[in-house]
Amino acid sequence: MYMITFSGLTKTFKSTAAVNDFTLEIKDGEIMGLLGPNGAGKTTLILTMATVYQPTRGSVIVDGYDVTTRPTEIRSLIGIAFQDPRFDRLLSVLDVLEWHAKITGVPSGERVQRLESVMRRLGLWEVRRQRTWSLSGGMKKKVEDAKIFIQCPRIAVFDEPTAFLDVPSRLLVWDMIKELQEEGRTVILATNMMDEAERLSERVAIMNLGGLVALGSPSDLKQKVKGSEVLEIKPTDPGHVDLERLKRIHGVSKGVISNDILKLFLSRGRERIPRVIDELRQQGVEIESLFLKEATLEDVFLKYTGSNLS
Amino acid sequence: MTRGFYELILREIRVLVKAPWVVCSRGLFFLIQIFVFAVLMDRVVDAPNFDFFAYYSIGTILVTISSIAFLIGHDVYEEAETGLLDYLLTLPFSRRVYILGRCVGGAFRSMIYVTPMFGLVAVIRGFTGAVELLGALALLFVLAFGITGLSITVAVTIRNQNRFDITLALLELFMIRFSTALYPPVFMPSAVATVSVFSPVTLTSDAVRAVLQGGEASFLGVGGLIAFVIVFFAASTAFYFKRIEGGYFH
Amino acid sequence: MQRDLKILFLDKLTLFIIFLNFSIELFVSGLIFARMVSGFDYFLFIAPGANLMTALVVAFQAGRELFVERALRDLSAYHVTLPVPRRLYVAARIAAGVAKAVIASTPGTLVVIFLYPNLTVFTFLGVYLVLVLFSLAGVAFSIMTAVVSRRTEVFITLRSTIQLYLSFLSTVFYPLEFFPPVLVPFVLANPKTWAVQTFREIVQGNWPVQELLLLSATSLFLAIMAGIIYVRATKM
Repeated sequence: MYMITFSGLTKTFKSTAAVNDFTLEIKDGEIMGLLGPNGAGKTTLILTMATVYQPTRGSVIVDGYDVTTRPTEIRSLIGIAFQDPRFDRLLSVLDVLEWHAKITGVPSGERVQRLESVMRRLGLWEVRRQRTWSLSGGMKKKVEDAKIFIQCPRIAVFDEPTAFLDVPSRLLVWDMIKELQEEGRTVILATNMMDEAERLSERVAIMNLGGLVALGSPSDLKQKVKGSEVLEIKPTDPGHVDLERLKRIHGVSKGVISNDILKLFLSRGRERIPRVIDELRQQGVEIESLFLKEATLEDVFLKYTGSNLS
Repeated sequence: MTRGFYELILREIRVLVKAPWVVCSRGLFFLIQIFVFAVLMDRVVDAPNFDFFAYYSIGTILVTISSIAFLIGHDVYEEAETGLLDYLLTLPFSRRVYILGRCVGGAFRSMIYVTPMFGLVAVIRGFTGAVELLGALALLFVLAFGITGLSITVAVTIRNQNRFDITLALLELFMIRFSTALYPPVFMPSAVATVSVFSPVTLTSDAVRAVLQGGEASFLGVGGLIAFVIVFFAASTAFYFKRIEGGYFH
Repeated sequence: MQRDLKILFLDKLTLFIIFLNFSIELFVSGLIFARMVSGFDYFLFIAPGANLMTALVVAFQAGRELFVERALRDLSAYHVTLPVPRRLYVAARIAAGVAKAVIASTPGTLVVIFLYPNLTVFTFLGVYLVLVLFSLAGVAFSIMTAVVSRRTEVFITLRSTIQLYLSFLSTVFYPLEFFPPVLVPFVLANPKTWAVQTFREIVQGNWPVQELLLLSATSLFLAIMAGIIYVRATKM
């Protein structure tokens, strides 16, 4: 059973298509990772699903409701923790969270207990009377995430939920997102962080330039990188590397230069290394360092989009 | 729907209560206007059969409520700029409830600001009739509701921050200075008197004075005020819809 | 200083609204109040005050900008890392604040000057001297307010209290003889009273040297105080 269905969704602003012919089905109760660089269209996709924008073409169906005809019903299913915290600067942490709980219909009997429990877990209890504008970036982010943990919506959307957070807080938020899923919620996780997507998501959708370029579980996606190995080489002069000649080497499926690092996607890498070194020498390129590793989600992203996520 | 509407109104009020220094500053300004400016100008003004203090004390309330009602435009503009609007639009209520909630909330906020000031003027001037006082407060609420709509209309139709600030400041200036809030039409140059007839602040000012002094508000004046409210509530709704549904900002 | 002035001129619409505000204050409110007063020419009485109000509003922008830079945007941290000595930096900010106030109120100043007959070069010089000195006091007040305020609420409350005192407990709107005796000392201690009285005297062809000296000494003293406090604040 699909909780959310995007069918050929296109959203344009003037002549620019922020989301272009996007099709994806998200199962009820799964954590779907949305990976993409800034400007890939993740936020527009989320806001269209959340009924803030109307689709230009295509449709979005959420739990059987169409975003264009039944927006109010959809809003009562969704909770979004935005990338940049969105709340009234003048209000205190407690005011922000209490208001969010009330307006999203958290039953009054549970409200106080949920507010206290989430605030205590996230370390917000001590600062609950503090105005939100005076909080640090990390604390503001926790308040934004806390809104959704208190609301416990059917569909919880997190846009970069651990940006600005320290490592212990990041692990805590990951645990809390997992708990939401265990309670049967559907979670959409838009992120730039590969480890976050890999650790939490059952499936990952890679977006680039408004479109879906790859979809699958993190392990499936990594398998799709031919040979599943990546040879990372730091050449002295990346400008002189001839990628076409390198790709002619048997077993090398793709070559990319990113941030002055040459990445070759290949199979049986250990055996191919001498041939690669020879080829680079013939091109007059010296090697500073060389590193063979298994493909990561980041490599998957690089393969499909041709650029680094960071 | 009711919950969303109610919570939206409470939110407007909470934001006001959380900024007591702004209330204090405005309150201080009001007190100085009444107890320093109005008292001293009353000594300076020597027009026959004209009680400057009596006239100005009611006018100050109209000026204050108009200024406060205009503030919501700044809030709406800032919310769109900072992205808070996106959050508000994902909350579980319809757009109609959202816009109505903002307008009514803005008007309530203005009333909360001005009611203590109104009470003070009522005590000083000896207005004791409950019906008259409630009637005057109702008229002030209607004006605040209309100005809130006007202010939101400006906030959602102008996208340049500078131009928005200036337009709102000019509108406020014209509506107040070209009105009978602070001075009666008999002292106005004819051009100003002609323009002032169309100011909703004039319509309210005349009606409030008539009601408080035991008379009857002119049917035409109250009708004009209601027309102003309807026009700008409709405009704010239409323009707000256009902007938020179309992703106007991006 | 160049940066501050550039920002002012980029914002031409604001300059326009400042002038429009002044015009409405003078030619609508001033004119209407003048019709209510018969003992003296209230329109000419209020004109210099309306102009000084404009200068004061713009002068107080200096403190507002400083507060926003310091408290909200943390732009001051960038400014104080620039290769300019702190004292020079602070002096430039004060001078820029004064220049902005004088420039923004110039259209109004010219209107007021031309309302009076018998103009001479000295009238212009005198009026501009008053404007500069008064703006200097305004900028100094606003900078001191911005530097001593750590929180927005303190800043807003302090700023509006000072502005209210300067505007309403001065002889801008009403002559001294109309004040009750208890308020007279406050009115006489108000730099805006000295500025507006001096302005009125100069446009009528007189040179009140004593008042000018008093205004100069006070404005310079306030500016030096503001400078010292500001320099100390930049050292953090």
